[in-house]
Amino acid sequence: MSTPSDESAAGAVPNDWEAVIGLEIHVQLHTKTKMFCGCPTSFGEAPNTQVCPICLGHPGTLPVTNERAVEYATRIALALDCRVTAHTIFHRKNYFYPDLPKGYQISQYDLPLGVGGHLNVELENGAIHRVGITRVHMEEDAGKLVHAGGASGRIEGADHSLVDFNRGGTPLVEIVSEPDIRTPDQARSFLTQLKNLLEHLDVSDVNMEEGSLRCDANVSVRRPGEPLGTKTELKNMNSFRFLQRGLEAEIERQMGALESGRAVEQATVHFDPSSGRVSTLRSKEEAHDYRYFPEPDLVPIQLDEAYVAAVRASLPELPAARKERFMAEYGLPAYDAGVLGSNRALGDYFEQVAGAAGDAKLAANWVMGDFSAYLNATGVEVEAAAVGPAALSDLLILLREGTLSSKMAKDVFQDMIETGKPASVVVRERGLGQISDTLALEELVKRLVLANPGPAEEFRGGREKVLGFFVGQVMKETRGQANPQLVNELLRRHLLG
Amino acid sequence: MDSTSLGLPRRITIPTATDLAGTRFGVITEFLGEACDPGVREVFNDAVAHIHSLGGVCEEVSLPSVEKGIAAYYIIAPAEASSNLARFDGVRYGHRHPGAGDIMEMYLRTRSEGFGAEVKRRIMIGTYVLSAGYYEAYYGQAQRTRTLIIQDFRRAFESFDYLISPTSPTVAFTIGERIEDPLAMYLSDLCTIPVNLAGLPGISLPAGLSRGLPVGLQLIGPHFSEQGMLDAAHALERKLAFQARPPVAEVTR
Repeated sequence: MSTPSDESAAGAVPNDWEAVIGLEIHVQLHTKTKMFCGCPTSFGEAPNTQVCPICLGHPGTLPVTNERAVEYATRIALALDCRVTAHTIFHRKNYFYPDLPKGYQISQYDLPLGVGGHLNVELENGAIHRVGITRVHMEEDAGKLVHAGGASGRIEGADHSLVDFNRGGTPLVEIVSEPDIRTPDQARSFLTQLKNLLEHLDVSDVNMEEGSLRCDANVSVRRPGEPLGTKTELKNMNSFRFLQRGLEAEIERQMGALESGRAVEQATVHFDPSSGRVSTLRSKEEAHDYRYFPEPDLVPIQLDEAYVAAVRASLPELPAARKERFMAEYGLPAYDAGVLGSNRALGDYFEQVAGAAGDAKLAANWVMGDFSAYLNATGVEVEAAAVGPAALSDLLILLREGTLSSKMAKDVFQDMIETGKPASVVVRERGLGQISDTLALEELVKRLVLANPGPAEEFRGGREKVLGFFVGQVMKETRGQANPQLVNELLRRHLLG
Repeated sequence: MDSTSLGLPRRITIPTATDLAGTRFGVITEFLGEACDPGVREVFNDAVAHIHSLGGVCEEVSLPSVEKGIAAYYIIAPAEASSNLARFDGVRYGHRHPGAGDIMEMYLRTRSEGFGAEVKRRIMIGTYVLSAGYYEAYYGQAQRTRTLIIQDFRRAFESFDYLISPTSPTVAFTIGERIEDPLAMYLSDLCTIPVNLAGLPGISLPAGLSRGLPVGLQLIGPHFSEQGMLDAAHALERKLAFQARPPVAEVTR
């Protein structure tokens, strides 16, 4: 008997091995200002321009907690079904690194903001896989090192390093999952759906390329049923694809080591996407001692029941609920509702189009079809699309009323993307548009019937095929723009009548 | 305003009080024990008599945990200092050792050259007491001791308006006298450190001379009692009428 087929895809874990994966996700919050000072959090500014004495760690400066960051972190904790800690405190995590101005990171330790949550992940095969959330905690981001003088931009081969503190002090939320993930596919689905959730919560730009969403993975392998193997930490995979490929490579490396009788050593591992290989960065044998202790410069944060209830009440509709509503309210099939419900911007766009066009299924087909294809091909964000929801719904109305055929509507849509003109203008300028004007077509039909008495007589005698001749004549006269349904109807009426 | 500050409920005005009628002062027993010089105790007892003559009432009160203040402080303060001083790493400002070959050498030399002996001692003690495996025994225990000290003060203020003690158990020691014995030096702060651990307002008044050197009287109040404490200190200061006439050192050629 064969085993379930969803595990047999390329890069999956073979049946006689089991991978155990836990993810640590860092989310940069898109608050206006940093975690403990008033500096802006904008991305891509000139180095060391978004800084002040506080986030540069000058002596004598003191931090003040960003209230909005606490609110956003609470939103995340609640959306992941965590218990919110009523009395939560910051700790100092002490270590030396040039991108860490104070010599410690203000983070959380044994009293994190949220604990004990979960995310229900929908897998490729439609099954629901529940992944536990160990904790959700707040911290500040470090600065960024730029390694100069080397070919790769990496630290190897560089002759000096520059520090940009713009990112230093940006609010971060760290989400730690339980080791409930078993395959790279599951990890990817988890991260994708977590990203969708965060998007709905409107707390972060969740852009992996810009680093506002970052993912590390703890990975080990074992024979099914055996105790946990030694884990390694796979660092900073900055895309969904690299997460999956990095995990595949690391799982393969660990299985290879164990199968050839070697041991897996506890280490930090780096995935190189260009070679597809993993390399060990540093051994974890001399484990860091971060000397955590409660941050004496900050007061504890009391999140009472009323506060938590208020944040909970302010949560927007989340993907799972949205999917249900799209099915119930618009009668969409589960698949369509899932696709449109998981992407916040696309879901919003769909709702506007469906409302204005008055046909939800048609709107869903177009938003998921031609519109999504356009986004994918150009990399444009939904909000910046050349064709807004009102413009698309105008096009769909022309389609629904019969002014345009499906084929024509697709062409008009392409023109709208290129020119930014409304559908009606494109149709007029190009002389497109089905002739659905009954009076105009009726004139033509009458004329053709009178002009062709022979075929008309044949049709009346029962030769249905002759209708095709008349349709052909109408189409010839209208250069193919007559509404076929209407033409059929009118011809029958006038031939028989 | 930073997170460690609170808005005071009212402004402080210049004190004008001239008597202490009905004010109750607790004399902290633990600060008059063996460590306290007889000369210091003598000046202190005279000050207590002055308080009585101004209509104040003085009674002894025991705060058993304050004796652990020095021990707790010399764990908590170095722990925080070791972390607070990490920013002096040569990366952004201050001294940087020139010509180091790599980041680790730059850190090590910069910090070895830039800090003095007492600072290094505190950084090392602080790093140690926060280390994995030692945290609970040292830092955790010290913070619990701090809580006990806070509770002792709170209890004492249920019976007394203010607490008093010598400011230091001895008069000033000569320059360099305790440089080889930091523990003995730390003991000079026996009476003042618990007040700071508890976050209480305190004031030191010159109360008289012992062996020609000034002896301080410390007045401690509950949280936010600054106005009343300054009023009491003002009345007492007038009565003590301390004349600061330090002996002039003889200059020899």
